[in-house]
Amino acid sequence: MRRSLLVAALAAVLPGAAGAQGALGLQGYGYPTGQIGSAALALGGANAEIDPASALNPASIGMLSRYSVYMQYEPEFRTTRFGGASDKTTTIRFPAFMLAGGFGRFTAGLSATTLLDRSWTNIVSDSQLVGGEMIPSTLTAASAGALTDARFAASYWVSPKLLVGAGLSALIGQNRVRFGRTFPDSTGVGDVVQSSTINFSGSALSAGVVWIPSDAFVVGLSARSGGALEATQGEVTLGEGNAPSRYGLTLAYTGIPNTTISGRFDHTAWSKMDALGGPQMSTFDANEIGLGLEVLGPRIGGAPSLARIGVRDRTLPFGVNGDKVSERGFSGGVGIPVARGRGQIDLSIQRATRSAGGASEKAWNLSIGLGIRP
Amino acid sequence: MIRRLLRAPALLAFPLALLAGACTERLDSAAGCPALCPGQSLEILDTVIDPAIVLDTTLVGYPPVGFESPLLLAARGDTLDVRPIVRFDSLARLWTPANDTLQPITRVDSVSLIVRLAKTGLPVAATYFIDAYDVGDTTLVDSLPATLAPLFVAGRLLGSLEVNGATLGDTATVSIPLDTARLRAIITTPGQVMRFGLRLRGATGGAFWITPSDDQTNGPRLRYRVSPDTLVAPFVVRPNSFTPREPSFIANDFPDYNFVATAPDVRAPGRVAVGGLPAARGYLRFDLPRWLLDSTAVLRAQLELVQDPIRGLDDTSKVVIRAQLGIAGWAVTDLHRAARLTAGPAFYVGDSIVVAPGDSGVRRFEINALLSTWRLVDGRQPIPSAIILRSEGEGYTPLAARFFGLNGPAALRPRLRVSYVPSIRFGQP
Repeated sequence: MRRSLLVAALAAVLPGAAGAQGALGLQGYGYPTGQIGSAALALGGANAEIDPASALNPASIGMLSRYSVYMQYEPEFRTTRFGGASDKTTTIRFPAFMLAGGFGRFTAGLSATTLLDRSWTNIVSDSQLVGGEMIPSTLTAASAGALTDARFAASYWVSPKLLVGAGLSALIGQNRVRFGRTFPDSTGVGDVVQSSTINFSGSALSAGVVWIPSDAFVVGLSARSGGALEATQGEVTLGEGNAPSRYGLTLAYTGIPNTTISGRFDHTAWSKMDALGGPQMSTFDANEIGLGLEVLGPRIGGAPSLARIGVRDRTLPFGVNGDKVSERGFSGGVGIPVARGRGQIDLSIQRATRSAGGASEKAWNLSIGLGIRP
Repeated sequence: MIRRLLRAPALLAFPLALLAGACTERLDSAAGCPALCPGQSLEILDTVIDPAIVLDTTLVGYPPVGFESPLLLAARGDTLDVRPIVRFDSLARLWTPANDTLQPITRVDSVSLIVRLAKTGLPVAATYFIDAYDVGDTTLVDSLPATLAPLFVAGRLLGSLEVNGATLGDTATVSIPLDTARLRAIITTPGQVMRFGLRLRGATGGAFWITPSDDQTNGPRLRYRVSPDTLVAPFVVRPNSFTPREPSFIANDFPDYNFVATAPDVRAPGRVAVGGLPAARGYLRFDLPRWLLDSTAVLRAQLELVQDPIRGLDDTSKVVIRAQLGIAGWAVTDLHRAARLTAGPAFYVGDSIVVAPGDSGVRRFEINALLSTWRLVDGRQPIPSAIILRSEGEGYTPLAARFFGLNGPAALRPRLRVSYVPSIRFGQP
């Protein structure tokens, strides 16, 4: 088990594997995973502000009653259509790893979650004019890596109805990029390939509360203030901007027995990252709305299982030729207790549709979260 | 009822998890490009560097004497006359008869020189003669052409072999019978050397290659008997040389070599010549702009040379001309030596072309692989930007090619056609 945890931990800090940039979700500095756990994803992200497996509200980690480990695996199967052509690609992500533990009213946690995943490969075969001669060629462009939010958070139960928390994030990561053209050996034309690494360094502060005003309601509220964020390539500074600030609110209704209905609004100021890109990168602030329903399912191994459905609507931070990319997802999932309730596997599946700039995209997003409370 | 309905997705979750765990990435995609792939264009620029060369010269004498392989035996009227020289500076002069002690050889007979011939591809006439002359004279520097030529006279003829060209295979080992009395006199006289000069004689021109002494099995060897008893094996001596004396190691290169008595001079003013006999190499030194070498990615670099036809001997036969990287450092100021110091074709791939001496027109060598060696290293260029043009048949074929050089007419001078990509900085979206 420890070995599995170690592997999962390593996987979490490694970037995801690649799909293609020729996709709506992978523009700019990449796809925002949302930093939400598998369970919250099944609910359309609706309970993310009160979900300890979602790295948004630092106060929510206090809702873990004991030392916990959480990790997440998230493949995406995507079909992009543009101008009559279509491409099927798959991206594998390990978007979250968390450790948290508490003592009395106090809980502290470390997490590494993917803020933006930029993993893709494009391989285009065409012909190029070299010295007046048309020569077959292959262009390869690839990026692997992510901008990761490495956060230390702490929370404190001020009263049985109020939980407060704060977090300090280091925004770090790399995009390992490769770009070049190759030509068949028989043409005598040499290849040109550039491999380099873009490094990110930045910081952010976050704060939040979880308030339980009555037995029927739970409110989660958090905000993140982005500090300076810099992107460098080799010795060249590509841009200096700010980490995206955000705020979000979850309202959950628990007045119906064994049922939770939740809704969330989130706003992220991605435009603060605009200075990190070139003139062709269009950046948009994003709003996100999620609604979800969770009901208690049959007991498995003495602990209750959970069933979830949700809907999520948001815009993505990076546009296509100046057009904002919108994303709508319908999701569902289950939470299955394991080891007599000492652990839980959350499974979710989301059907997302995206559109912008005359292109459309449909994706199946699977998410598997494993939480352990030893 | 509700719980039963919820159990189904819970049970489905496990195969779903297995499916997700088993999936693999699909990486390559481009259907949405270029619209969905901004910044992924790579501009390829073309330019012509003219003049690309700052120095060109023709250097003659390759390979160095003694390094020819194979040897060439050729007689093409008054155009080409090449005569291999084979030296036996050390001869077996002692032997031990059966039941006796070591003693000087006094009796010599059945003397022959054995060589292995190979056809060169030229038509072979019905009858040729290979004449073997005694060209040994230790009182002279007998490797010099001017010294050697007068030694091929009737009075020094040691033997002849008639070769039937019609029945000769692609290769044949032949034995040239030699004058026993002359050889006996040399063998029985300590200090005397035996140096043969081979000459081809026939009604029509012809040429053969001879396997050199590097080949211990098929190289030239001298054979003679020292006893009338046929049970006594004949002596077989392999070529060796004692001169030149200084530096001593050079003598090891002289057991056999070509003496070019007559050959067309392929050189011409304002031209760079390659090949011929003795073979010429073209030395070309470039002065390319630093921005091209150090700040771009070169995709193709073609050296364009205009061939100047050489009319005459076998001018429609094909010869391979190779462009190789010169690796002589700045300290090597002797260009003849610099033209010998080339990188092996396997290290920095130089291009080659196949031409006939009588051809004309633009010839192109791909030299892209060589350009990377001309970049600055720690602010300094380690070697001059030079390439050496050489014939693949150096030393054993008279075929040559000639190109207009820096001093040729402006339109015919060497130029470099380059396709390159300016400095790439990819990654910033």
